[in-house]
Amino acid sequence: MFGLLGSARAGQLGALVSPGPLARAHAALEGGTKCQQCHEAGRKVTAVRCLSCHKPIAARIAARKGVHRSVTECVSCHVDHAGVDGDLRHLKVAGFNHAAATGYALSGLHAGAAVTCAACHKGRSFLDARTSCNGCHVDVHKPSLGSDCSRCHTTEVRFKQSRKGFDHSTARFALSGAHSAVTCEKCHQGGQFRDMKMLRGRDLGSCVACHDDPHGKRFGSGCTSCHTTAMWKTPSVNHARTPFPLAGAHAKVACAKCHQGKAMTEPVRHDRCAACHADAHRGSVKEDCRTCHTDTSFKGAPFDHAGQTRFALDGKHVGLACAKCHTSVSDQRVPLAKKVLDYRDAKIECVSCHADRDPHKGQFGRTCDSCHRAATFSVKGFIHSRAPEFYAGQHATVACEKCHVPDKMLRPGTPAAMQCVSCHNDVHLGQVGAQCERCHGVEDAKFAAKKFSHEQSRYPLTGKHRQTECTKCHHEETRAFPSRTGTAVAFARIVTECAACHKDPHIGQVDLRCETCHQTASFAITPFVHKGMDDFFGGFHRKYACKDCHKAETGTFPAGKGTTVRFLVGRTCAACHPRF
Amino acid sequence: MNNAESLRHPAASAARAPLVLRGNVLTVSAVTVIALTAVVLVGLDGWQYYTTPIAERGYASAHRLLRPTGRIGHVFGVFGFLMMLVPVAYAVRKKVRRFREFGAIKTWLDVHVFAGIVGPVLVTFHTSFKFNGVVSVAYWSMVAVVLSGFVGRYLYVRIPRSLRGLELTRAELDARALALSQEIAGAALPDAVLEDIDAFEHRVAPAPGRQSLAALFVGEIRMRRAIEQFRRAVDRHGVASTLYDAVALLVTERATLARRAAYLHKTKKLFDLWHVFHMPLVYIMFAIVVVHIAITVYMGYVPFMD
Repeated sequence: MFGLLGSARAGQLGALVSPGPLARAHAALEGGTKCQQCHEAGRKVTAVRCLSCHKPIAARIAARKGVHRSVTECVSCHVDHAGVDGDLRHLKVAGFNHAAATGYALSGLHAGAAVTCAACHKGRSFLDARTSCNGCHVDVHKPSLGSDCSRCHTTEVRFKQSRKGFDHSTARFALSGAHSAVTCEKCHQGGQFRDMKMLRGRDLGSCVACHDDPHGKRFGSGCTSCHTTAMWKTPSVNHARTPFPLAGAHAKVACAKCHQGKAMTEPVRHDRCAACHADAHRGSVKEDCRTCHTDTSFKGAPFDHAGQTRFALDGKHVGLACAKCHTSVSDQRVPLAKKVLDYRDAKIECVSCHADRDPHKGQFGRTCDSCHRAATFSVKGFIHSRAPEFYAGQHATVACEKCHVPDKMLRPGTPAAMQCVSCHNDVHLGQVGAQCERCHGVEDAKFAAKKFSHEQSRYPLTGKHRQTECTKCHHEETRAFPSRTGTAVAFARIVTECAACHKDPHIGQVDLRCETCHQTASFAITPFVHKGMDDFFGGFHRKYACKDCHKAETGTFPAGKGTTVRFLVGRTCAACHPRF
Repeated sequence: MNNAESLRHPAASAARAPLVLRGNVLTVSAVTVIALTAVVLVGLDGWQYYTTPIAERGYASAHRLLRPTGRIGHVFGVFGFLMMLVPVAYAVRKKVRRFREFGAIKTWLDVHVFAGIVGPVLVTFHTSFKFNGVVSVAYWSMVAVVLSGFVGRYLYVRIPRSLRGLELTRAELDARALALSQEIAGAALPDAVLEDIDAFEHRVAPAPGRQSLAALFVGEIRMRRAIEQFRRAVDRHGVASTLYDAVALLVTERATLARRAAYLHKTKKLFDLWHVFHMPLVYIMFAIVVVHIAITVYMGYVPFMD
């Protein structure tokens, strides 16, 4: 026996250790060297190895679809080594829920007891069957009806029965009258069910697709205006079904008034009124009569002036007689109207009617609608469309006449009209030029100079100067100013030296460059540093305050007698330390 | 070995045997096998499973439990294998001098027989009656070993032994025969019964010089029938039942002993031959089973692990 094992080659060894022959489908895996194509050392038969070959199933598992949507391993359902005829796919057909397991429910005849799995699943793989009808059924309509069979067929009824039961009213061409009695093939020749000829007409139901036209096409293809599907004969024509239903005055006219030729071959030209009626307007109106007139009466035409012309009637124009604008012409040659109106050449410009009453004598052109409305000539609420920023703020409430002075009318759009000095006096008498907007804005009440900032001047205000009243420096003066002599607040030529406003408390001990020691924020001289005397002020001297050396004295100073702090003190030690 | 002890009545020695082996070991084994079989075939739905064609069996409800690698089927294999090791232990006990005092050889043989019957039945259920590949060689070897075991036991019991299972010498046999004759003679028996005893002993007395194999087996069957007829004959004489029992047992033992003594040489020769057949099959069986276990464990089929 050991000898037998020893001499056995690997393939034979496989047969020796195999627990039984593999099923026919797995025949290629038979043999001792191939055990591990399915069996993983220490892990039995793993799904990974099965799915390395069964890729469609792997895809279904990954997609969580179908029978295998929730499986994690294979061998609990698929058992091999049960002989060549072993069943690898043990299906219990009786309890199989096709809808839940595959997502495709078997209903009606599909679910019948006589239907076997193999009726649809013809290949070895169950995944081969498709859910579309033509996956199994032959389309006898030669795809002319598309692939959606469910529009006519259901799984409940056999194909031939569902043909009889087809409801033609669901099609675009509903059957009625004599059409209901003919066989399908009479119209659907050669299995054509789609894109039928009778559907190609101007309107649904092109009769000539099937029927001959005895009228020689003189009445067009719309037979249904006279004929019905019940019968070809027309014992009484329902004029309402014709393209020209009789209404209003037409209903009272005798048939022969219009139908003067042969009924079968000469159609009435009803498309233009002029075929029967004379044109009272002598061709002055290009449009068809129906644009203005109804078939009830020629009088009182409900003309839509807004819709039909470029000149909508509104405001005072409403209710005016037509002749007020449209000049009338008397013409005895026209039989229907003694007096006709000439609608030609009516102009829409205001001056074409209102020229004699233009108070502006033509200075605003030929149309008034930039200021006036049809409702009234009053121009209340007029908004200057140009330069809206100029007409805002304080200008908004100024009365029109304030600017538009009679006989001194400001021409719109001229630069002069927008200059401040055109209306306003210069109270600064030429000191600051004509550019008022540098300081003043139209929003500022009473000419408050809100836009002005002292930063613009040659002397920006800082520190305490910001809180100082303007009049402290800018005094009202009466003298010669750039524009003329008069009284005005001085803006130019203000002296900016400190001494111009401030007294010298040091009585001439230091020069007048106060900013050497002082700042505008405060007269206190905290930043003062004795330059070049670091050695002296280091150490012991650092403890002393300024006033310990610079004492207040009453005496004679460079600018005169008085009492003040003395700056120039003795620079020898003995000046402060007498004992030295 | 004390002769007085060894010559005591067999019924007395049964009372001193271990509890589990109190009846005949074959009876105990049979009961165990029947119970086990009933549990598997009925309790575990084994009958339906094993009768299902192999091609469809993978989808039977009991497949999960009873297939060779199933929850229970695999356990059958493991315990079957372990039980098959018990007879090996018996051989070791018998052959290795060091274990000579380790339990009576008779008890060991009973355990050997029990394990040698129940183990193969477990293994049989483990196979689920599918015999493929080289491991089936091991199975059929095992079957052959078991069947030969029955033959061996048949021969074994025909070699007179002491209560501890050691073979008796020719002198010991003669002494026991003499003791039996004296006991029978001591009993006051009616003449009719003595005649029956004579007739019986004459009938079953082994033919001198004819120790053929056929005579060994056929004579055994004839003797059983003769014992039955002798008992009925004695019964007709209306001897008191206690006396009858004692005499009948003594007469039967004396006849059996005489017969076995007559065929002892032939029996021993056959028994030696039997060993030559029984043992090599065991080696084959274990060699293949070790490969079988190694491959299944390598492939991941480990019991109690899934």
